[in-house]
This record gives sequence, C-alpha cells and structure tokens, in this order.
Amino acid sequence: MFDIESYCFNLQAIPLFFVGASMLLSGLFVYSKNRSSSINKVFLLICISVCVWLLATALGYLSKVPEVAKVWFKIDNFGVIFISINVYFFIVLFLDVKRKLTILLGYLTAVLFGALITITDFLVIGVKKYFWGYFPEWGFLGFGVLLFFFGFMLASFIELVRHYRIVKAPLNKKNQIKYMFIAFLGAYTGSVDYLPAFGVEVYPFGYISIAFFLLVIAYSMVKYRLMDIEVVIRKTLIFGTLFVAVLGSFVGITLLTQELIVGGRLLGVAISSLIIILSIRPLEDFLVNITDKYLFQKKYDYQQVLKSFIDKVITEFESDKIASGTIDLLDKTLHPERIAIFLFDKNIRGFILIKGANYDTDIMLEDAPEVLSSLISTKDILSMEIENGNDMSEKLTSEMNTLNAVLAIPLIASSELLGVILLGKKKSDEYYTEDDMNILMDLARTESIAIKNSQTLQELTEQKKIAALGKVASSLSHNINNHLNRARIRLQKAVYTDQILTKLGSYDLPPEGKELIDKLAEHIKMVTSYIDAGGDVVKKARDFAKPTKGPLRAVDIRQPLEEAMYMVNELKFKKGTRKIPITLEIAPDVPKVRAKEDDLREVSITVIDNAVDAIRMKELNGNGDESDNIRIEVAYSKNIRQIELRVIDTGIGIKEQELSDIFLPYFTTKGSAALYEDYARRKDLRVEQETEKAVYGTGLGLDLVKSLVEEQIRGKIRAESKQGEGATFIITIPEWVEDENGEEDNGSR
Amino acid sequence: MAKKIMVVDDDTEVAESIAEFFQSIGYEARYAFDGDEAMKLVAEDKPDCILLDIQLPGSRNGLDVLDEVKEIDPNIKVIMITGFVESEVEEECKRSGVDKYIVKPLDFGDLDDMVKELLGEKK
Repeated sequence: MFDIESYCFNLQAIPLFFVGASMLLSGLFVYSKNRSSSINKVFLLICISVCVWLLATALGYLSKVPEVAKVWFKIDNFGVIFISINVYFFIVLFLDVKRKLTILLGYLTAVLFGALITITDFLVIGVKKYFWGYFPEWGFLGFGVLLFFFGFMLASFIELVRHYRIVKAPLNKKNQIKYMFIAFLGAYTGSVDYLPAFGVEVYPFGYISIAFFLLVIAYSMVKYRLMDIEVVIRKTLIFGTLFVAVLGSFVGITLLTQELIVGGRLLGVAISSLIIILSIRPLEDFLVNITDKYLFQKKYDYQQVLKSFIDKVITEFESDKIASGTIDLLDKTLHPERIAIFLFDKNIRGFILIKGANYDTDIMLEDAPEVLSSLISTKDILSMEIENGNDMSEKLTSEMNTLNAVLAIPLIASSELLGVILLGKKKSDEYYTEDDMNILMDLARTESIAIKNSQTLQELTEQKKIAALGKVASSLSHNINNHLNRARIRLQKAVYTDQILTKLGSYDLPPEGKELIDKLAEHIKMVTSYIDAGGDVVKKARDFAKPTKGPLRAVDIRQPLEEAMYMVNELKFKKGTRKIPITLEIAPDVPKVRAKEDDLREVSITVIDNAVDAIRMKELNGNGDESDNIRIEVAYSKNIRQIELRVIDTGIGIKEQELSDIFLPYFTTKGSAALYEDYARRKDLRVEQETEKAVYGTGLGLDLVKSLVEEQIRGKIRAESKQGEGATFIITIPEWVEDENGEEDNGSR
Repeated sequence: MAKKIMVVDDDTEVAESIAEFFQSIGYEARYAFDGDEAMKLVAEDKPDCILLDIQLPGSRNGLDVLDEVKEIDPNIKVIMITGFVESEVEEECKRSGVDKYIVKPLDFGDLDDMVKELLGEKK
C-alpha cells in the first residue's frame, strides 16, 4: 500500500482532501485558541475523526488496487465510528450537561467497533467499483454501526433542542445553539455516504455536507462568538483565501486540461493564467464586499467617534445637553432600538430619566436594584447578550427586561454612580461587539467627568447667586428699614410728642372739625400699620438667604402642622369673624420627614393663611357659604420616597395662567387697600393691626415659601386650582432616610 | 428728680424725635449722633438710661459703647436699638450686659414701657 504504483489520479479525491485538510486545520485553529478548554479539545477530536474519514476515503479513491482500497476504507470507517460519539461529547460539554456514563459507554463501544472494523472483515467485507472510484461494501455489522452512529446523532439533537427551549440568556447562547443545530444537521446529511456501502449507486457527497458544516461553524464563531472565539476577519485572511483560490484553480485547471487534452499542460497553464488574471480583481472585490456585509460589524471609525464626542462634551456644562449629545452620537453609530440616560438627582435622592429615545418614561431605574448593584460593584457594562464573566442570574435577566434594555452602562466618577445609560438591542439585530463595548466604556468615562463638572459648576453658581442675593437683600433691607423707622417715628411724634390730634380735639370745633380729626387719626393709624407691614417684609427678606439653624433630624410632620393650624386660628379668628373649619388628616403610613420643624411650620402657616384669605375673598364677593373649609392632607409616595402635603381650600381659586406666577415675588391677587376698606365697611369690623396685615397681602409670601421649600426642605411646591372653586397647594417633602454612615448634614450649607 | 435719658443714633430725625418724646413725657433727654459724642456726654453727666443704636459711624459702634458704658457704671440701663434680627447679635448684646433689645421700626409706646420697666417705675 505504500507503493506509489498502487495509486492513480482520481479527480474525486481532490475535494475530499481539500475538505479533510480544512477540517483538520479548523480543529487545530480552535484548539490553539484555548488549549485548556475541553470543548476546544473535543472539537479537535471531531475534526480529526472527520479528517481521517475523508482523507482515508480519498486515498481509497486514488487506489488502483482493491486490496489497498479496502485497507484505506477500513481506516476511513474507523474515523467514522468516532464521529457521532465525539459530536455527542462536544454538545454535552457545550450545553454543560452531565452525561458521564453515557459518554464512557459510547467511547467503549466505539473502540470496540473500531477494533472490529480494522482487524476483522465484519464491516468492510470488500470493495465495489462505482463511477467515482472504489467504495467499501458493508456487511451485517453495518447495521450495528448505523445504530450506534444514528443513536448518538439523535441524542445530540435532542439535547440541543431541549436546551434551546430552556436557555434564556445570554442571548447569543440561544443563537449559538441554533446554528450548531443547523451545522450538525447539515453535516449529518453526509450520511448519504452510507448508501453506496449497501450497494446503492448514489454519489457520496458527504464532503459537501462537511464543507457546509465548516462554513456554518465559522459563521457562528464570527457572529456569535462560538466557543468564545472572537474571529476578526482581517484583510490578510481575505488575501489568504484568494491565494488558495488562485492556487487551487491554477492547479485544478492545469491538471484538468492535462487529463482531457494530451500535451495540454502548457495550454492548461495558459488558460488558468488567463482566468486568474481576469478574475482576481472581481474576486477580491466580491470577497471584500461579502465580508463587510455579513461579517464585519464595525461600521465606524472608533477613534474618530470618540474624538468627536470628547470635543463636543468638553464644552458642555449642562447635563441636559450632554445627554442629548450622547443620544445623538449613539444613535448615529450603533443604531440601538432605544436609548435612555438616567442621572442621579441629589435633591430627590433618586434616578431621573434625563433624556430618552423611544423609551417609556414610566420605567424607573429603582425597579432594578440588582442591576444597579451589579453596575456599582463591577464598574463595567452589564450585557444581556454576552457572558462577560458574570453569571446572568434570573433576577438580573428579568430586571433588564423590565428596563427594556440589553446593555446597561454605568456612569461613574470618583466611585459614585452618577447615572446609567441603557441601550436596547441594535436595530439590525446584530450583537454589540467587543469594539462597541470598549467604545461605550470610554464614552461613559468621558461623559461621567463631563456630568460631574456640570453638576459642580451648577452648585457653585447657585451658591454664588444665593450669596450675592443674600448680600443685596441684606443691604437693601437695612436701608429700607431705616426709612421705615424714620417714617414711623415721625408719625409717633405727631401722635405722642406733639400730640397734635389730642390738642386739636380739645379745641372748640364744629362737628365737621371733629370728624376730620377722627379721620386723620384713622389715617395715621393705617399708615403706621403699613409701615409695620413693611418692616415684616424686610424681616422676611433678610431671612431669605440664611439657612435655618439647628441640625437636621427625622421630624414628625404632625407637630409643626398642628402648631401652624393653632397659630392661624389664634391670629385670624379671634376678632369675632366666623371660624373656617380646618381639618388635618395624616395617612398612617407617612414616615418621618427630612426637614426642620421651623421650616415646616413657617411654610404651613403661610399656605394655610393664604387658604383662609382665599375663602375670605370668596365671602367678599358674596359667594361664601357655610361649607367653606380647609383640608390639610398628608400622604406618602413610597416609590419616590416623598411625603405629599396638600392644603385644599374652597376659596376663590387661582386663574390657570397665574398658577405658576403666584410664586413670583411681589405677585399678589389679594387686592388693594380699597378692597380691604370695602370689606371692613361691610363687615363693620374694627381695624386691628393683625387682621390688616393678614388680609392685605404684601405679595411676599409665596415666593419665600417656595424658596424655603426648595432650598431648605429640598422639596417642591405647586398649586392646582379651579377658579371659583378653590385651590390646592401641594408640597412634596423628602422622606427621612438614614445616610450610609449615619451622618446627617447639620443644616448649614 | 427727673430721670435722664440719652439717645444715640446717627439718624438725626430718629435721635431728635425720640429725645423730644421723652422730654415731653417728663424725662430729661439728650441725644448724640456717634459713639465719641455719646461717651463725652456720659462723662459730663451720667444718664439713667441709654437708647443705643447698634450701627454708629466712626471708630465705635453700639457694641463698643455698650461695653464702655457698662464699664463706667453697670447700673446705667442700656436699650439696644437695631435693624438686625439675627439672634447672634442679640446673643452678643446679652453677653455684654444689655438690658433690653428692640428692633426697628420703633414704637414710642413700646419704648416708654421699656424705659419705665428698666427704671423701676410702674406703668
């Protein structure tokens, strides 16, 4: 059999050699990628067994002598017998299933069969000549072989199908299984090769099935990182393929022409050269296009993208704009189905959706605590598609599904999680490649720095503004106070020192004269009270920029509310006016709040005060009735950790267009002195200083309340109203949450 | 004998008017516009009660005058007048021994009551 004379050329052998060699090379390639992995080793075994089959068969074709052919065919069937069990083993390893016993038995059986095949004639009883060459003839053992072969083949497929159903994540695993199924299914069509062994004259195209198998496996490796092999098709590989194609066609054509035409070697060379020269360029272009379209996933220049993003973001100081820029960029380069950028807001101590593209605004990041803690601990991208070292637990998977995202990218600066970028899958259904992930991490790092800067800048600017405002308020109010002081003293002088009115009163005057003196007295009294009102405003304005004293503690909202109600009752209702019922209802689940009692009381007094005035105004217009009341309700929103304080009155209401204006300084709807005088005349009330101050709005109440709420309490205030039916003031106050190290800020900013 | 009141305030309108008021209700009242003048008057003729504005021009402000007056004679009653509402200021005054503290804008009636109280007279 080692005599070259035993062999003659057979064209049929060439493809078998080719595919067999490719199979072996693929096996070696996979093994080289990870020598310690069992999967890779077993893949190599598969490749070796197939290679043995094909090469031995090829040599059998090339044999002139039947006995030599028979030997080769025995060797080939030796290879064949191991194929199925190797495949089964491979699949079992791939799916991480335990079938030790089965595998052991399988290999024992294979060895047994192998021995029988090579040593005895039980399988290969002889050879038969077909149109393509010699082929083995099988005896009765063939049925045993078939049973064994197809038995394990079926077992493999069953495992694949079963796992396809079960596997949920990572996403590419499912695809890997799918393609593996297709590859092996295709490969097994090569079983057609058994037919000629039983005498059926059918061309054994098994090698084509194997070629198909190789192609599908290669595709899966590139697209789905099968066996964790990242294959980046480089241009060099393309040229490698070209080279092989050229050489192969040169050799093939030359040999062919040599066969068909006597003395045609020279002609063969000429023809093949011509064909090569003509087709090489188009072939190269074709290959480049194909690989770009189906295999290349990088469609942008990594560095270019990063550079342009950095340039853009470095000049931005508003987180809004940074977020928009990022979304645009991601959309253009990666084409995800949806994007969402969440940033952590210190005031509400939660994540807010800053900007989103095609993203449901009801989704809350807080609904995915596992995802958040994974991001914080790994400081790396969390991907649903690829296993990146972490086990994608069921919880993580379901949370990512809730978030409608396939990638979660953390924005981290100085160990703080500033925010998260969520990406849906790519519109093209391709997976995010390793390059994509790298660029995303770099992007995220740049963005985190930019956001941190913008936040710091904002805080500084605000602090500066407030300090400046405080200074202005301070000097202005001091000035104003001095003027008010002089005015008041002048009036006092008229009354006390000069005693003008008293002295005038002692003169003998006609009744009109006495009346005039009374009027004058009234005017003086009014002016004095206005001056005092001015003094109050000054006081409040000066308090504006100063934080209230005292440490922040967990506060029960009931007490300051009750105190506020008490004070309003005392101040407003003691003059014989009809009391307006004020009720307080606090929901049982309302926890302690994060605010100072003084602040809460101050805010409540002003808002309740306003509510009373609103009802009084309604009475003034003649629309008041017995049922007018004020309800104070406190409720708890657990998912945003906010307590909602509502003051609901049935007063005159607020015009819709004024709903946000009422929080502006110097905005007043309460009316002029004329209105007040009307009221006093109609109700025949004595003019007392307190009630004057109370009903006659100075217009500097709600805006101070707003700043108190926003700056000191770190909450929000808004108003809702139906004109004529009443208004509701809604104040949200943060819940008292224990800080990490139990430290609380002590109130000074 | 009539009790002596001194008013110290850099605002002429205020100083004169308050002094006039107390004069009209039976006190002997003088006024000064700054700390130096005030101390001079105190040296000349000790008052029983001083109405002192906290913000004064020159090298001494109300707090300085307060300290010096109390040093000379702690029995001289001092009422600090001020536009400040800060509690630190109030604390500081109390530490220095101020007897009363009143915030602008002023009310003659309140001033009268305060002085009467400090000088031990019933209302």
